[in-house]
Amino acid sequence: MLIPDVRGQEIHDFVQCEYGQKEAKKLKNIEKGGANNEKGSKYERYCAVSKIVEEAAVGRLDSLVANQAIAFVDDLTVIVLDKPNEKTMGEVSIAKKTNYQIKNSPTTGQWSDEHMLRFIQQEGIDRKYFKAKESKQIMLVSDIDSFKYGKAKQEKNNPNAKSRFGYEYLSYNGKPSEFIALNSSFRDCLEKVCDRTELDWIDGAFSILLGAWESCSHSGYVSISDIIAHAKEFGKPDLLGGIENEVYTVPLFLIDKCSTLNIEKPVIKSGRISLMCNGLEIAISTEQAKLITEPSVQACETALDLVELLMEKAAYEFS
Amino acid sequence: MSLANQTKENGEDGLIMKRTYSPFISAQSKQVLSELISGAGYSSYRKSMKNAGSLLAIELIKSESFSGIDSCTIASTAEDADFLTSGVDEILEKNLPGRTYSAVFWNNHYQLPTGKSIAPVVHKFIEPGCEVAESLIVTKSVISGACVVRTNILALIESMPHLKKIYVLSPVMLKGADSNLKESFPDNIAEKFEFFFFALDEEKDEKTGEVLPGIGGQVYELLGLESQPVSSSFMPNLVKDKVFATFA
Repeated sequence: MLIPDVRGQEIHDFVQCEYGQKEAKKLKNIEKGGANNEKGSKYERYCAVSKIVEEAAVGRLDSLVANQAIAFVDDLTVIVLDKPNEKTMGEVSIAKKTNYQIKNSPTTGQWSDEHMLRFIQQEGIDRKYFKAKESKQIMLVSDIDSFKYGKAKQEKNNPNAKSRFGYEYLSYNGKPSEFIALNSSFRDCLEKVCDRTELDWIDGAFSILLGAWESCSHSGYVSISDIIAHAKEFGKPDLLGGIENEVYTVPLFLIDKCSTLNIEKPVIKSGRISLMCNGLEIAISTEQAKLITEPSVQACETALDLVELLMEKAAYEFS
Repeated sequence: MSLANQTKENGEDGLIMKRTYSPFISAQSKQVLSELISGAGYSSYRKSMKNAGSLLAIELIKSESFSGIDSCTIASTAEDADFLTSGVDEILEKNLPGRTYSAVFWNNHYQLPTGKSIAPVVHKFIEPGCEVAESLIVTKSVISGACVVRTNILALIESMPHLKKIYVLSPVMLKGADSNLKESFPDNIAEKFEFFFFALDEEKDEKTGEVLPGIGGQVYELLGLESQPVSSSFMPNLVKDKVFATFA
């Protein structure tokens, strides 16, 4: 099928036909509410980036993400494509569609009959309209008690729906570095897409991913690869070096010179050549590293000469 | 900390800029602040910045919370390392029973299209052993949005398990920068902060983001550096001395 526009009429027509006039009107009202809140709350944006990074970390760059799509469960949608390489003329087959209702308040995160109804209706849209092979509706909450009690109530009231409905918890108190620290699986994924573990680096990556999502999130369904491309464009340096199309290696003449000068063997970290020397780390993009010639490296007589040569070439990226 | 001595400084364009002095101000530090905005050449500017560092460090060692400190790590940007930070370092080396360790960062400070400032670390020097220190001293020639300071603290805190205090030393800060910085950290980190500065300015240039009158303009040019050290490949002597002495 063709992925419809997030604001397309087709879904309204489908809902009118499938669930009747009253439910179609309800969907319209949900859509209006979503449009008024188009930018989404900060927590919603943090959650969106968390899901984007989850997809990117497992290499599903063809997956699609949208916020405020026309849906009964409408805060965030993630679509995993079936055989993404086989799509033709924009037609795709959906392996899994997950919709999130995001709640950053203890009072709204509790499981209710209305939530259940919306989840069931959304599942119907996903299965019948989108023809998704798998459909899942998730209540994503920031409050641990809402998570515990909501999950327990959901499982008690809908014992046969465990694989279709769920609760997730992403802790939040408004501070990006704490969001990273409190949500360890998010941090793991960030580290993977950054190919670095330092908090300053992954915090910077989180900022640019939030910026990239802000720039893309008004365009309907956006692919993870498009969001990552934006984030890479924003990064100076590129902080998402864990997602690289090319495999780089450190030139042998540089490795040999480091060995001669008693410098640690340079390695590739986050898509950059990283040279460590007594606590000093110089990182140069592999693109800039191409400017380093073998004779210029051979001419370095000391470790300082070599470090200064690398820093000089690295500087071009920022000038 | 109570602030006093509110004064008004006349800017170059005749605008009046509000400046409030901290309780750490003295005739000597007031003189240094005047030198920083006087438009003298880079040689005098470097000396004044180093003096500012020494005077801030003297206030730091006089403070109650710093008594009993054995060793510390001083975190700096590459542009400040040989000037403001070197002034701080000299005083602490003489007065602490233990060692001072250094951490130096080459940040690329810029604004995203969304308007948010970020300052990723491109190169860094983290002196081996600095993780044992219980105090982190962060120096910065001027603090406006505190984005660079925040990044450099993030780069260190996870590797300093015994960290008890974070001292931020800067001759001039933009009003509110201290609370912004604290608010960007979890409470258990924010409560470790203590700020040492001489003046709080209330205005900044909307185009350049520079604090007014601040430290007289863009610190890189005033110090005689071409631009941000990351784009001019500037290597501070502090790093050269600590890293390459054994390679000589």
